[in-house]
Amino acid sequence: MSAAAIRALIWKEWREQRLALTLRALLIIGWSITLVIICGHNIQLAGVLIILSLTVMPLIIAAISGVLSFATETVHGRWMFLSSRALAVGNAFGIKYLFGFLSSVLLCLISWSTIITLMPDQHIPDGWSAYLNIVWIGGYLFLVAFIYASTVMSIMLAGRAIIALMLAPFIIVFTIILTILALIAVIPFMLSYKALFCIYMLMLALSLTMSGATLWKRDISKGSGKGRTLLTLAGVIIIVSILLHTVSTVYTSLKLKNAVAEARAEGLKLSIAEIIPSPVPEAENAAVLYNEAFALQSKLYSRYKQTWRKYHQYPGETMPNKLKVMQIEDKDAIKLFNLLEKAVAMKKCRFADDYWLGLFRNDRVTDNVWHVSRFLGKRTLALIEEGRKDEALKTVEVGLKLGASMDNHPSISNIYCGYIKASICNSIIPRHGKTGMLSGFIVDMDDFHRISSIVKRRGNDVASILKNEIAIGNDLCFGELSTYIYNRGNRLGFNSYRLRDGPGILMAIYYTYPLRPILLNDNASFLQLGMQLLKLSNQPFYKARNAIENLNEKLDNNLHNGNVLRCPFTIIGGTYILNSNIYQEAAEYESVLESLRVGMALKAYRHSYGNYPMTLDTLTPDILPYLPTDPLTGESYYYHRQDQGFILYGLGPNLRDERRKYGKDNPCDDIVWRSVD
Amino acid sequence: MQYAIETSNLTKRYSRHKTAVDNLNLVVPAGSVYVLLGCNGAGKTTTIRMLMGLLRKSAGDIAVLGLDPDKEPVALKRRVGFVADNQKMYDWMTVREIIGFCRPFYPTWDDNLVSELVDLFGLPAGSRLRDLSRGMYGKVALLLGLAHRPELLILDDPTSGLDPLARREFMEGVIGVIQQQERTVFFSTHIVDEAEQVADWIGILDGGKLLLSQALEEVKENIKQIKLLFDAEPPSDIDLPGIVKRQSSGRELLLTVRDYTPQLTESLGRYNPRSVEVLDMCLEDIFVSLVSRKQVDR
Repeated sequence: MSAAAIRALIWKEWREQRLALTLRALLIIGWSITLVIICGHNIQLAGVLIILSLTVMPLIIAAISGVLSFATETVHGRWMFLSSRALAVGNAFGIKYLFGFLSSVLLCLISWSTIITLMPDQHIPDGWSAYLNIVWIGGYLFLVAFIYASTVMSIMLAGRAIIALMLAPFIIVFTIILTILALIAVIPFMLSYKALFCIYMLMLALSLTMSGATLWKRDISKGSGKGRTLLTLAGVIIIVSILLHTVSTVYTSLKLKNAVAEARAEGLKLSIAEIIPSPVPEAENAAVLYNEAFALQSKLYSRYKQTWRKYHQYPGETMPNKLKVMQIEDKDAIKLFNLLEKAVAMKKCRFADDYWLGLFRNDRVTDNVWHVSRFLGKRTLALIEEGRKDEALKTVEVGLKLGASMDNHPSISNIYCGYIKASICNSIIPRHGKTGMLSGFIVDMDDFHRISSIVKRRGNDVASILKNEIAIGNDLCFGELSTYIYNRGNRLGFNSYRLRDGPGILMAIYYTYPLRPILLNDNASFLQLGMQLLKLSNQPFYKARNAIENLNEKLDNNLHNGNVLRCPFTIIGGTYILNSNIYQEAAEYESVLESLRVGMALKAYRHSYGNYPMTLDTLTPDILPYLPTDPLTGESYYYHRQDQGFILYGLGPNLRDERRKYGKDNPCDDIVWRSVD
Repeated sequence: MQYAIETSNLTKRYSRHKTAVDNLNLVVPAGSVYVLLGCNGAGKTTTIRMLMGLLRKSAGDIAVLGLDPDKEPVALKRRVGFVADNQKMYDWMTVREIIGFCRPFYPTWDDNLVSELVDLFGLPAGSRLRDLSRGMYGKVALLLGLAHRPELLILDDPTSGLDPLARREFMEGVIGVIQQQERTVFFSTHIVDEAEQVADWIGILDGGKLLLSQALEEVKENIKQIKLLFDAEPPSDIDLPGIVKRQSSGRELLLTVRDYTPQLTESLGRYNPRSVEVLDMCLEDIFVSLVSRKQVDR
């Protein structure tokens, strides 16, 4: 078909649909504005309405107007005029389909941007956005595309208007059913996004089946020749695929069931209920207070953003007054501190909402803890500068308790693979690291108390100690070491940044019905290999290193042999953990923690004696009960005094002494801490 | 002889009990104006839709300008002009717009011819189709069927639903065009007058079967009425080949025969009629006689 002919057809569609399109756009904008107004400050209602407006409304409108557009063309007999022109009818309908599809996408974007523009920020938390992205892009676009496609297909294949009319009620009924199911799935949070996707896929399957039935009735059963053979062949392939899918699902389910039984026998926790204790009453749940605190922190941050950022870029400079106000005098700051103080005193904490949509939100908990820790650190410094020592110490204590309360929190996804991952990670890390804490703030309560007691015993200036040494939110924590720790923490699989956005969408598709056998097989294989890793983790890393390498090799072979599918899905799924050598990561992480502990002890020593020691042995038993060894090597850390400061380093995962060349432009993997003096 | 349209045993069954076109063997000589006559429901539209590839045939073969409409629909439509029964177009378009819309689909589109036809038909180029009279509307459809200079023009009952004035207006357009250009025209109608105005060849379709397909002159030559007057009651056993209709009134017997020859009159002599008179028939009478005979047979 010539470009001019395509232009003519597009022009026709535009002229025919422009009024409807405008009305649809107005309707969507009106709806979006209305929901922004009516939802007020009710976040949950806003969320439901956003889903409605992004998924359901455009879907219903698109389905109805799509059907109407086809029906008008066919019922009024205009298609006879069009199809008697010298053009392939399929092309004409194809352009109609494309036009309808693209205009629906456009409507979605309009709806989306209206809401983003008008909705108060806090009503669209990132977690929701990520969630909605997936629902929207994955579910909505597929569905609209396939409803359109199957409508077009049916009409074209059947070649009769009556089919379009027959299809119309089905499509509308399906859309309504979908709406109800989507609401059931989302509103009471009874079903996960995974279930929602299964529903989407089910609708899709029904829609295609309908088209297939039409095809069979109109063409295959009556037709003859090559076309019939091809279509019959296609039908056979589809049926065989479904059978194979069913068989492989059953097979892999059994495989996973056995793997799970073995894992449970080893004491592994494999469900969210096991990993996180059952929900606690709100009154006893610190998470309620934390959530409130996180919101306040976010408010404070927005208000003082510029000052906050600037200060962090230049460690050591005097804190600006404005920032002091933020930490100490702002009424929100006072409220925030009181909330945190109350929260850390509580025994139970469960971020129910976050874990429910954990795949997309758990990192928010981590981030938020990180942010409030920064607040506490800054507050401490500000109080010290103001000479309010008791309050400063109290703030530090809250900060440390906060850090401790976050230890080992299973920052995980709520998907099965995530449970396994978290369970294995959590089983391995506590054995080797003192803490599996994720927020980027690594302070051992023992160290704090020990240092505090030394300081008290020696009668030194608590304020100066706190200002220079304690890790909550001060320069020590924001130096390269903490970034290093933070990044390492992410790589352990605790942080799900990589699961958001693009890969997150793939993941969502991954967990839908068609790929179930792959998922099940992947999980089962992962679990079996994970169990071997878990057994190895009973030994210190430097002893188990060779065996772990063998295991990784085995995993690699498995990937090649097809036992675990090597594809993006697997990479973002469980196998990533093994492939990325979790145990080595844990050991590296631990190595960093231990070096930090030694480093802090060195600083404490200097405060007591005015100088850094000549050797590390001097630290025991006065400051440290024993001298930590590097878990990567089983040996002590390397330590040299350097001018007024010191350099402390471990060899890092490659076990080579790269002469402490660690730095931004140097790829060496030594774990190095230079004194900031 | 070259045939623009040729079908062999063309059949369309909508269901087991409903056969719209039954073993149709139609040949339309190239360069002729062929009129397919038939009552409503005779199968004219079904036949034409199959010829255009708009409806799938149940059995048989079709060759339109040597092409199979199911296999090469686009190539065929480029060479054929078509105006459907009760043609619906995009009413929101203006005459100029619908011409511009259809133009890119045809490599042989002739803008000069379009302007000539717009003038000839007196079409208001800026008016929307919905504002045109029924006759004018039909002329637009005709123009769109002609503008690419098709070798074959197929008109499916184009005047149905038009009042006499509009019909005359439309037919004048058709006749004007036919006179101007040499091409095959295949025209279906149930209005005999129209057929007689333009036809070279006549086909009569009834119940999906072709009752007759001949040049108009031959039809008139071959189909006659013979009026016999007897002294008494006419004999009931008159049996001659080619009698399609028999009407008696008192002593008078009126026979309609096809394949008339003078020998036929002579052979009637053995029934001793008092007088024998051979009458010419108009096309309408021929149509009615053939179709009603068919209905009697059924």
